[in-house]
Amino acid sequence: MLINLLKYEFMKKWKSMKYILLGYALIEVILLVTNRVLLSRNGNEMLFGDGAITSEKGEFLFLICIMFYFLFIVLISIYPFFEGVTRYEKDLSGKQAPLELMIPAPSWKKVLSKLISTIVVTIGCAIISLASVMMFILVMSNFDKVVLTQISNWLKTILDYPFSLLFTIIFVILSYAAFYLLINFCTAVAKAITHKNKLSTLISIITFGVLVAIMTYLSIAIENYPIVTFTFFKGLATGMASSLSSIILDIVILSFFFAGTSYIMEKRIEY
Amino acid sequence: MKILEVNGISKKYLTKKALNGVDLTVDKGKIVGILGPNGSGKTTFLKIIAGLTRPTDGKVQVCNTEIGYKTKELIAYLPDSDFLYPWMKISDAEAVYTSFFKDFNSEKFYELLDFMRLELDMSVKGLSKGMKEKLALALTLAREAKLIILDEPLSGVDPVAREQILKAILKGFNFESSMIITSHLINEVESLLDEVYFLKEGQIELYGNAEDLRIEKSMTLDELYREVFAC
Amino acid sequence: MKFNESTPIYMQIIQKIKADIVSGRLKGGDKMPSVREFSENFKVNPNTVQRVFQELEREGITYSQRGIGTFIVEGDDILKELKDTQAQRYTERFVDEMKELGMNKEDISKYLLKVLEEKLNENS
Repeated sequence: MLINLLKYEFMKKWKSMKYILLGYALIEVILLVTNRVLLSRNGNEMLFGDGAITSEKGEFLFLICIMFYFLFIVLISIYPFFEGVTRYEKDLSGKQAPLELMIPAPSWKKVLSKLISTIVVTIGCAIISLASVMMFILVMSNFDKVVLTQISNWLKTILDYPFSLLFTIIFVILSYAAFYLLINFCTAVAKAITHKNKLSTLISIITFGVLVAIMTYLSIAIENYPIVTFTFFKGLATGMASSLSSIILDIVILSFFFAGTSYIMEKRIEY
Repeated sequence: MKILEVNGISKKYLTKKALNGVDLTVDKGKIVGILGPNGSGKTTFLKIIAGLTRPTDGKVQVCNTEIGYKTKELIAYLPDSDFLYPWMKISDAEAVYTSFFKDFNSEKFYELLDFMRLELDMSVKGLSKGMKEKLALALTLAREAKLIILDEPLSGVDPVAREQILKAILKGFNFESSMIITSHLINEVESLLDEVYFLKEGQIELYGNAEDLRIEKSMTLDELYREVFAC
Repeated sequence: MKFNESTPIYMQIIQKIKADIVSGRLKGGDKMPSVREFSENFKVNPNTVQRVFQELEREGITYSQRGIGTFIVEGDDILKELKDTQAQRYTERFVDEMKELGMNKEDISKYLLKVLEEKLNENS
């Protein structure tokens, strides 16, 4: 059943993202090519390394293109999150809610499938964003050897700390999941009370505020009882400090929102 | 074992009481009609049985199981026509139903599609309201569920399509399962019903075997309806 | 088939079938459609159709062969008996209605013969 739910969620996501991804690829290619052409026309092959832009006319267009290029990168990386939370809201009280509610699976499986599909799509878009940045650097520097070596050095440094890297990735994913579930929890609470749009938005915002306040208080308070502390990326700048108790707190928060959303969806949501 | 047993179901909203102590049973192989005007609580009642809404009071059992996600496997509920995503093709809808409902019979679905003159590669976006109703019905009836619930299957549909829908409903019937139909087009569904319940303002006003009622009251169910609901 | 009388539907169907047999639309030995086909064609509840079939069998008008189907009974006596009962029934209905108008025996015969003449002339 979980597999079927995942397939269904991926199908929905793909249908809504198909054209956006296509449009993104198109726009970014156009912007990048424009930038590249502008740069060449000004007699400079490289943006990074030696050389600078000389002409003023081209400069404005050049900057605009760069701006939009990175703007779209940012947009595509946050799109999965917004898609995930708005879709959940529609699943609970949109036109297609009966279909969602009719599916004979326990709510926790439904929530889990939505969580997993959102995380996977987010990771996919994150990779696309990174690749876009990488493309920009490579194309604008015309695949300059100096730049390439610099980048591979950075990568090598990071890979020297495999555990830290792994931990950071897991930590980021879990925090993202917790935040996603937090929003969905607020949506579920609101929809359990009413389906009227304005009122339910208000309730979910209030719930969000209250929960964030509680979570902030808890994370500050927990620092008094760290149990064990770890430092990640030792030797790299200041490194990254974390304590066992704050890790446990994060896991508890994540579980709470997961369980809470599932419970509300099972017992309190009505169509 | 009764397919459906409802005891003292009530549903209270902030401003009104939609259902007030409703009792109902459905045996295997029967088609039961719930008749009443708009606002009498029919839709609320059906949503409770389908597990989409919760009663404030009372007990509902489907094949001796309490309402929950397990009973959703046993019940096929016909929702409003617009419950499918517009980007879906009919084949997508079939895939979704096949993956979630073990009792979905694809052969039966194709037969019903054929009968309704719909094709697999049609997109939901391009369907008229009547065609969407027929598609929803085909998806619901293709499930060999223990209990099929049809809420106003004939509403908003032209007379020719109504004929088709009535035939399709009978095509979808089998003696191992049961059906509940609500409609306010009494004279069109009358002949399909084994038993009827007249629901007035959240309460059962009158119920019984359709033929027996006709004999007893010496009138068609349509005429009986007018009598029961004339205020 | 329109079901707008207040008699039970199964009885209305039985009457129709009997009328078909008497008029020859249904002949002895003809195979009846299955319960399912019947219910779809007439848009009638399948349990009602089953009751119809049971009644017809009980009255000896049909018989069923397991796995093959239900058939109209062959034989002239059944046909004669049916013709007799149906004709009697229709005539009684006619006479009752005429009596409600206040007609007596002579009036009823007079109108009956008059209309018969007219109808026969229409047909030829």
